[in-house]
Amino acid sequence: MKPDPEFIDYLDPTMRRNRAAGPDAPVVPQEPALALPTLGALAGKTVVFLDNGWKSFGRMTHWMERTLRDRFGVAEVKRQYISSSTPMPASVLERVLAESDLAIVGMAN
Amino acid sequence: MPALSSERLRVRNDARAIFDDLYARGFTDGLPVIPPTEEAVADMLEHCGLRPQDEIAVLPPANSVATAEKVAVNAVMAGCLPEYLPVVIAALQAMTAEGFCLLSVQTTTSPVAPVLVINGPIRERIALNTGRGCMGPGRRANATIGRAVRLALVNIGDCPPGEIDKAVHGMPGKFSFCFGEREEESPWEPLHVERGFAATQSTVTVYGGQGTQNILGMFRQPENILHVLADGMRSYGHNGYLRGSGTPLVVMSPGHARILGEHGWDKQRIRNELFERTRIRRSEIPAELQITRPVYADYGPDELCATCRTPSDIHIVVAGGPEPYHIAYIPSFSHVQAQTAAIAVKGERHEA
Repeated sequence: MKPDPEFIDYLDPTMRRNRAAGPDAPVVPQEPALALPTLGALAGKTVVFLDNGWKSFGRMTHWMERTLRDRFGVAEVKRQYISSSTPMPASVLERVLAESDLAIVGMAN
Repeated sequence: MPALSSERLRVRNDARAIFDDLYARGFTDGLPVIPPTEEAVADMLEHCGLRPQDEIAVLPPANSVATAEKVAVNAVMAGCLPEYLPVVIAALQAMTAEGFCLLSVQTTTSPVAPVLVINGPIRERIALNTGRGCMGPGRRANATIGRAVRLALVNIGDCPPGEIDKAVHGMPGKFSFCFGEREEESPWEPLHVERGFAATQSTVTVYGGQGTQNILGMFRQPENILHVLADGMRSYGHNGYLRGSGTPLVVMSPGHARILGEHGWDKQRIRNELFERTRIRRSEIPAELQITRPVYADYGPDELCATCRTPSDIHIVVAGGPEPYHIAYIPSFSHVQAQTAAIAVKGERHEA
């Protein structure tokens, strides 16, 4: 942009890019999404809920556990209490990886 | 002038139009800002010997890499002088240390703000207020350094209040919360020396603070000062009791510190006393559990709940006006452990 005394140019303070794109804007290739197992593939498997201690997560996962067992044939559902605001200890993470096929994490309330 | 990569935005060169434009784009904290022109940002970077692309920290929740350029843009907006930028940078680096749990601080429903405590020679060089009224308002360095951190958290971390920042009430300290320790009037080692830094090294220590609670303690006997202070701290409504962790901060007036020091009280003795006095029997807390499971959920009725893990987790600094009247208590949010970072000032070297 050329300087114009009637105007001032300032720098965007955010990390947002491509604020506006016209119809001729180049198409940005997307990375393929992570391949997650379908629910049907969980038959006979072990699922762990990483429970952050919020009652809302407990209620939601009570329903999810029943659904996973009854509708999708999940063999075992475990619960592991985690802190809601600190990283999981490496030893716990290793045990979860060793003992389960899928982990569902309670992120917040 | 270094090449800056940020998108250029154009607005009519009029103070009100500039504020309207920046506010409408969600770039501000609701108060007027300085337009971050290319020249102002380049000057700030050059003053500090930084390259625009230098990576400072990764800021959640967007996990964006905060470059020196973007931090400087936000610092200019906040009204910082160029010499304040190293303090802002060190604060962001301290906050992104693992123990600080910045993602939680950014997104929680709690009223938590980064509380910046500055130590070392930089306090004098940037005219930081460590004395009367040090928590504000009125001093440019205090006001704009804390504000720059807030703007960086919102704009670079992409955490707009009310959207990603879920604070139920928010807190005035989320605009800015920065002061210096009044090391010269303290009978004890300053905070940064306690934490392993050389006295000549400038540092910033960051807390996850939940506002200030004033404790009026106009006593002359140390036991009575600590009695009233502990009674003020002893509230299981503070997040610290929920988790039994965190780093609560006691900001002593120089007058109180002098009385305690003259009677032979060192910081560790004070911490021990406060820790013991602030423990609460489980039976004094409702049996019903809060909706997020407290650490004391399975305690017996006579077991003691604490506001933090150990006495050493209670931090003490000296700041404010000289009268031994008021003590500021800053309860800690959740698991947040205070973090200290060295402030890198161009041309300065320090012994390890």
